[in-house]
Amino acid sequence: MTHVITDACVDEKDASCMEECPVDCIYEGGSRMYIHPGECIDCGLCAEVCPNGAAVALRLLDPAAAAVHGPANDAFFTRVLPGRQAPLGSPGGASRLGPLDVDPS
Amino acid sequence: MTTHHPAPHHPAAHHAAAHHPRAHHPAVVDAEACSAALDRGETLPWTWYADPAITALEQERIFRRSWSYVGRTDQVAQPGQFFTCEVGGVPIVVTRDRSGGLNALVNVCRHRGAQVVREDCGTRKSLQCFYHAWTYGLDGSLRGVPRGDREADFDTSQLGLRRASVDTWGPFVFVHLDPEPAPLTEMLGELPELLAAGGIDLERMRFHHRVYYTIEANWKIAVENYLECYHCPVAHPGLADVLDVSPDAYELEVRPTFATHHGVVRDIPREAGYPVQGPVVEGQYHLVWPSLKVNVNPGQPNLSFGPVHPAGPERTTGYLDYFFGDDVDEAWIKAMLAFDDQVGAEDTDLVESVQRGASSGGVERGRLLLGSEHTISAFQRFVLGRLRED
Ligand code: SF4
Ligand code: SF4
Ligand code: FES
Ligand SMILES: [Fe+2]
Repeated sequence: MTHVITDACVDEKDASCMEECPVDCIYEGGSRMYIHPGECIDCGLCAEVCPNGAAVALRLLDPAAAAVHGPANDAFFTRVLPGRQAPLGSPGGASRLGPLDVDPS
Repeated sequence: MTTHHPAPHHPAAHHAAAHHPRAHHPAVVDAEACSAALDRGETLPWTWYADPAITALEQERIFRRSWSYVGRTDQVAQPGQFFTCEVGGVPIVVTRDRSGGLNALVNVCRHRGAQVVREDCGTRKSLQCFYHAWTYGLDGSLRGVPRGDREADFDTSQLGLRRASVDTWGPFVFVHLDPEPAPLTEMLGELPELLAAGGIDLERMRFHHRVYYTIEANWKIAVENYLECYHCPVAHPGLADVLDVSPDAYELEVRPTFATHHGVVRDIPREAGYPVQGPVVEGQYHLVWPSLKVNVNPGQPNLSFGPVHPAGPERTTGYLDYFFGDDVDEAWIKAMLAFDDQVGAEDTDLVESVQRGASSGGVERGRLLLGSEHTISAFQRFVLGRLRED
């Protein structure tokens, strides 16, 4: 299980979560943040610090919401983003990758 | 005064470790004889000033069972602010949480014991352990455990950081390891009134700076030196220029939880190291058991406040937080501090010399003058009483 970021983050992006995440697995897209499902260690810190309640534990979401937000986060890493040749996969750190100005379509 | 009592389901930190099964610890030999010796004006045995077993027992029975001054409210004014400290050797983090609550938490991760907060002070949004990323809120509750959901019956509600008690008096923050200690007001006794009567209005005092120090001596020697002014005419010529340190003018008093000295400025002033005239006409120097110093020098409103800690049988660490009235000028502060530093340096020299004598084994104990040093007997009675408590 993992934490996910919901669309409550859209256009907020104050990035408290990114600064605090101990494994740097919160990635910045064009309109919001995305948590890498394989890199996240599920520590709960992002949920603790997000001022908008946008970062949440997937296991605490009801099944319908989980079915939306889980895949929405995964898509950033598994789909080919606009302007790219291949999916991001596991970049191993948001600061290594840097912010992107795109979201999965 | 606001008291923040810990949640009842968190047992006190010391309950796990401290209680010794025997009423008389082997290090405290002959408590009856020691008590009788104090009545005759003799001191505690010098062996108690260099013995690691006695220091460990003092940590357990004195410092872990007393309110300790740990810092100031201005260090935890804003949500997220914290500072770390130790109480009786137990690491503590004091935090201001997001709902404005003040917390004193045992800074030991409930997982495998790492120190959760390693900085001296700062601002944090949560208390996350750097070892396996267990995530605690600023109030110490456990909010996240990586892989916790893979375990059967992993109850995070029982694994928050252990809580200590915290209370404040004016700008001063105190911590006690017991979840239900005797009130802080009981330890302070009439001290707040004495300060106010001496011209110190805590509301108008501003923190100026902190000075840390280390002394190569047992903590009791440092305290005992502080408790008498018999040495002042001999060892502190600068102080004796300011205050009348003769036995009829200089008053020593023993109160239930502290000892106090009052010294008046000389009638016929000598040329003094700093301008001693001002609204504060007396020096007042208090020592709250076991080891909190509260100093007021004559002149402008000033206060220094701080603890003395055993850092080993023959080493003492401590600090003083200096406060001055909000309208006291820097030139006066500088002159007063130069005077104060001089007295402090003289005291360090005295105390370290006593340690060398005490730990030499050449003499068994000292002999006090009960007319001029009864404050030391009272302190030693307090120490002996605590060491005998199970
Ligand atoms: S802290 Fe919350 S709102 Fe801000 S970027 Fe992170 S998830 Fe988005
Ligand atoms: S749960 Fe922890 S590891 Fe996962 S994204 Fe949030 S802060 Fe990072
Ligand atoms: S020791 Fe703190 S998380 Fe493991
Ligand atoms: Fe002195």
